[in-house]
Amino acid sequence: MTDEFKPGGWFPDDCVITLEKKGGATTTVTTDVTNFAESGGERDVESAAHFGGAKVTIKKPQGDFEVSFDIGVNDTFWADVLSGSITTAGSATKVSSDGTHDDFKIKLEWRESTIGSSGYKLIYYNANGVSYEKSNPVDSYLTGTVNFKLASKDNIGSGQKFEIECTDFSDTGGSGSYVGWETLGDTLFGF
Amino acid sequence: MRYKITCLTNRNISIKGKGLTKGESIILDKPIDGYGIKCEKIEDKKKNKLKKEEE
Repeated sequence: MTDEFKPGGWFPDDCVITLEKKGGATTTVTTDVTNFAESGGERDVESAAHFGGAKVTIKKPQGDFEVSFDIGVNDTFWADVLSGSITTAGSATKVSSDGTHDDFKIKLEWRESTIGSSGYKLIYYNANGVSYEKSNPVDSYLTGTVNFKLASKDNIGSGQKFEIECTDFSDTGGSGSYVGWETLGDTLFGF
Repeated sequence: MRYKITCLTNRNISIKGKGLTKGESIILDKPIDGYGIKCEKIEDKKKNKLKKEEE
C-alpha cells in the first residue's frame, strides 16, 4: 500500500522556510537553517479521585507551542525577530534592542520536487521571538538558536497553528483548499 | 498616500507576493517596515504643485 502523503519521507531539500513580520516583508530563510524543532502545544489531563473509586477527568488548557531554529548567523536578520528596531544607512544596518516585539508568521512547506505533487506545510501565526542565543566555538562557525512561542489560539479562540497537506498543491480552488486555508489564515490574522 | 518600498538586501524577500531582489522597488498604499527594506513616502506631485501655486 502506498501512502501518498509520505513520498519516502520529507527531507530538508524539499522544504522552504519563510518568515513574515506582521505588516512587513516575507523573507525566505531556508538556507540559514540547520535544524527545525517544534514542541509544546500539550493537552494535559488530570483526574480527581472521588469516593467509591470514581474519578473525574479535568482537561487542562492547551499549552503554548514552541518553534525553534538552529541557524548559521550571517547578518542582523534574526536579531530583528527579537527587536524590531532597524536603522539603515548606506550599506550598514543596525538592529538595536529597544524595538518592538513583533508578531511573525512562520511557514515551513515541504513539496515533492520531482515526482507527484504532494505538499505538507506547517504555519504558525502570531509567533513571537523569545530568545536568540549565539555561539562560535573555535573549531566552527558562528551559529545561533532562535526560539519562538505562540499560543494555540488567539484572543477570540482561532487556532494559530495550521498543519495542511494535499496530494495536488496546484489545487487553488475555493476558500477550502491547500492554498485557500492559508489565504484565509493570512486574512484572519492580518498577514 | 503611497509608499515606495525598496529591497536593500541580498536575501530573498517578497512583499504582497512579489519577489524583490536587491535594488528593486514596489509601490504600496501603506507603509511597511522590517529587515532589508527601505520605505519612503511618495510625495504627490500634483498636490505639491497646487500648494506652490497657492503660495
